[in-house]
Amino acid sequence: MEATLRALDLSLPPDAVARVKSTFARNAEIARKAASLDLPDGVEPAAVFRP
Amino acid sequence: MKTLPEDVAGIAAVVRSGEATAKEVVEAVLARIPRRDPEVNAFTAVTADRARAEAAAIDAARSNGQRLPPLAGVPYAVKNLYDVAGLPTLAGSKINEDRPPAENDAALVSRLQAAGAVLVGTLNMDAYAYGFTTENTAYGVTHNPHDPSRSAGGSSGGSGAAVAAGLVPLTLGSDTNGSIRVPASFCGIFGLKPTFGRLPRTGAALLSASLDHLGPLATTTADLAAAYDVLQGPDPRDPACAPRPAEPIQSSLADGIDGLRVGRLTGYFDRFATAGARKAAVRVAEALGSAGDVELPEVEAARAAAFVITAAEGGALHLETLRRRYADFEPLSRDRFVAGALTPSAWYLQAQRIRAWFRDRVREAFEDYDLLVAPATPCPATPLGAEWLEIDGGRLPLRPSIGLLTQPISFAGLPVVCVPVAGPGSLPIGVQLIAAPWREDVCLRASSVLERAGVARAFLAGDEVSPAAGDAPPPRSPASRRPPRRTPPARTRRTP
Repeated sequence: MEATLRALDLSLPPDAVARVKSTFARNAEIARKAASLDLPDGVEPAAVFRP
Repeated sequence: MKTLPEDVAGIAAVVRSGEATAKEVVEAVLARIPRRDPEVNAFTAVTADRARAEAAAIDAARSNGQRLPPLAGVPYAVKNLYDVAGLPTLAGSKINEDRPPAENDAALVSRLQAAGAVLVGTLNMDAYAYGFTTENTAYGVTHNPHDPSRSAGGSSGGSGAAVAAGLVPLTLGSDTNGSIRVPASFCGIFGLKPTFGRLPRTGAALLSASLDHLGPLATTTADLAAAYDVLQGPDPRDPACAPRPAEPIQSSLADGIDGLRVGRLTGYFDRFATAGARKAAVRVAEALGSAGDVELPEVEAARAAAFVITAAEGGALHLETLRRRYADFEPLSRDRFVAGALTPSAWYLQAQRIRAWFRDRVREAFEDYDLLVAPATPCPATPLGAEWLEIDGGRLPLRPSIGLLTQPISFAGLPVVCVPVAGPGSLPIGVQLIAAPWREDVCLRASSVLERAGVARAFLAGDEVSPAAGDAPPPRSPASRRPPRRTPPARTRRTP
């Protein structure tokens, strides 16, 4: 996490780094719900979404 | 003193007829804002000079015998992420105070001005539109007009509160994951989130370009429709705006919904709603003659994907500012912006793939139904400062969970009218009327049916919210008992 923050040139106070870590972990939990959906081949993102 | 109408249609009518001048209307509103706004904190700027100049131009046009545009003299205000010439576009952040004033109005502000509406100010919001409660450290909390200890919703909280407090009859908001529908639900007013790509976002500060929508909030369906009709039309400056001609709805608003197939969304939408919110949706679905329950597939994955896209795009958008001014960001959202900037591309691309897949599943649902009904929020307005939301004994973090029921719908880009009904206790709650893409007309006609039947109505500050008023289903016409038929085609079916 710290290395990625450095790579992005984000310099944060230590307490903020801890909060970002915990927020990122929560995001990861939510992202897992999306990642676990097994989509058929050929489904690709649209350049501009049209409903 | 002359009594003036308080709704869009009424104000436009008296200005057109000459019963009142635009100046009288705007002066009444400009006098009302400093008197009542301190209770809710909806406004962040009042554009009095501009309002007086616009009103004077309307009155001069009438004096000269010119035909007045449809919203002549109607006062309105906009979420402060819309560009207003001469003001810095705050987007809810004190960081933006250092920016130069906008040189031009946002496209939708220009369209309302061309329609004769009079801009009276800009409105509070969650910082950079990343929130559902309008708890803004820099500009203060926006309070719910029905109970100041509760949230007005967000992120367009000022837009909801200004209408429900009776300050202006019309506001504009934005909706990435629910930010028009949540304030409409919490404040007890009508809100329209059009189809993704229907209205141009030119000159509006975005949160997530893939998901952002703009739209109006008002006290009646007719007022929403009147605003929507003048807001429509393509704009090549916004690549997401579809090149579709305007499809006016006002003339068919009273057509009813006989023959339309209505379904109630269940499964996920029941699971993440409290009993009161479920009851409100059931009442609306029954009043519209619901033909059955509908369960969309993989809604939880769709919501998760919307969450990931918002986090990634919002974080990337503000990365440069986070590097320089992290300390000046809103404390309630700055760590979420940083975490969003760290989103792996694999998560983001999977989320966009899910969007394409989910859109196709939703299209399939609309082969069997014309209108779907779901609660707008898991519960009525939540207490300010609350951290947790309890649903059927389960506990969820409150701030991100307020949008659980709106996120999957905007993810698919569907048009929605949020209608206000009496909720549990003394608070209103919103119900989403959801149609197939580009069928805002279906949502608005259904909203109008509910309003005429007394099931839905706006609740302004001081109104009693009596469940009895909304519990009676509307009379059903014999025609509506016929077997359902397909929706008549929209006036324009050309695919952009």
